[in-house]
Amino acid sequence: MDVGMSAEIRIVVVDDHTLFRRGLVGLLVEMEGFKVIGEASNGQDALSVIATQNPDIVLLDVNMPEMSGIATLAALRKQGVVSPVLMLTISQHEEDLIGAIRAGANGYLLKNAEPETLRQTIKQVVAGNSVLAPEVTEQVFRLVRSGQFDPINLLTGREVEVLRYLSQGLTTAQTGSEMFISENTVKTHIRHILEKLEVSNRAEAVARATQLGLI
Amino acid sequence: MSNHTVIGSFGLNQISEFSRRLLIASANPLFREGLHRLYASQWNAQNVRVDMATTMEETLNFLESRQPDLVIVDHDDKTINRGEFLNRFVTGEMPMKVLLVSLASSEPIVIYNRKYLTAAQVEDWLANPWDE
Repeated sequence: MDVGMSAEIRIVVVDDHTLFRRGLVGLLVEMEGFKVIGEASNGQDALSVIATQNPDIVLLDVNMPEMSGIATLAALRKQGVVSPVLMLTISQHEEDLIGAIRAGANGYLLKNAEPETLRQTIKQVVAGNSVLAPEVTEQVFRLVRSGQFDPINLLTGREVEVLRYLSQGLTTAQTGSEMFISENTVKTHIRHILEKLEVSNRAEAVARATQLGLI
Repeated sequence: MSNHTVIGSFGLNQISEFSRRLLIASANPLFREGLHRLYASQWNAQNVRVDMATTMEETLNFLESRQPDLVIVDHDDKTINRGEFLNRFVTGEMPMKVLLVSLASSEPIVIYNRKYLTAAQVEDWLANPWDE
């Protein structure tokens, strides 16, 4: 969407904390050019609200009971939802930050942000930019420098080996034979690979691994 | 934004004209200001003075200087510490209500309601202390 256009930015807010969510919606509706078209207090409701409303942006909390914001985001991306997602959270934990980025977040902002910062960040994310809160930017730099953010660390050596054989068109049995392991062990490796790469089948896993430079 | 907000057209020297005093203590502007907007019309109609504290020190200062009837505390244990606030609340004598909330938790919100009753009033209160 071109933010230079006069059309309103249509927002869905997902947060289990009712007081915070209602207050945030109150702030957003008073900001010029913004329209809140949906709210959800949990991940499951968020999936249906976002699927039906097709918003320009989703503001998504990370820490929610039952279905976390990151799990919700991963499910959205799996469903093919392309709406930009701005994580809005109190969490500065590395696993949340990395998890959100890997799951397909377009921005990561802390709840201690000023309303004006939120307004600017929403516009930037809708315009196609990726935005990180200043408080977590240093963490990302440190993680990348230390190699923890390297996709190669996603998979074990054996899992990469399995993926290489699959990419060559080998069957599960043939892969097991090549690696001197049972067919069941190969299937276990494949299940872990699908989970880690957040894909649903072998072809997608090979495509994703190629994209990440793993094979 | 200012650390204290007066809803309506009342001035600082007219504190006594407010029927109620409310303090929102939170280091998170989105929560603080969002909550304020959410209830602005009700608090305005109820002639409530609203102050906002962004740090522990400001919170404790407002407790002394404003003696609020209700304090909404968003504790994060970094800027505003739950234990420190509760310690002050317990050792204090102000008959205020306290709503304890944390953006970091999905736990239920806790409300404390301190009352002062005469001995005669306590007799009535004890007859049915369960419903208020």
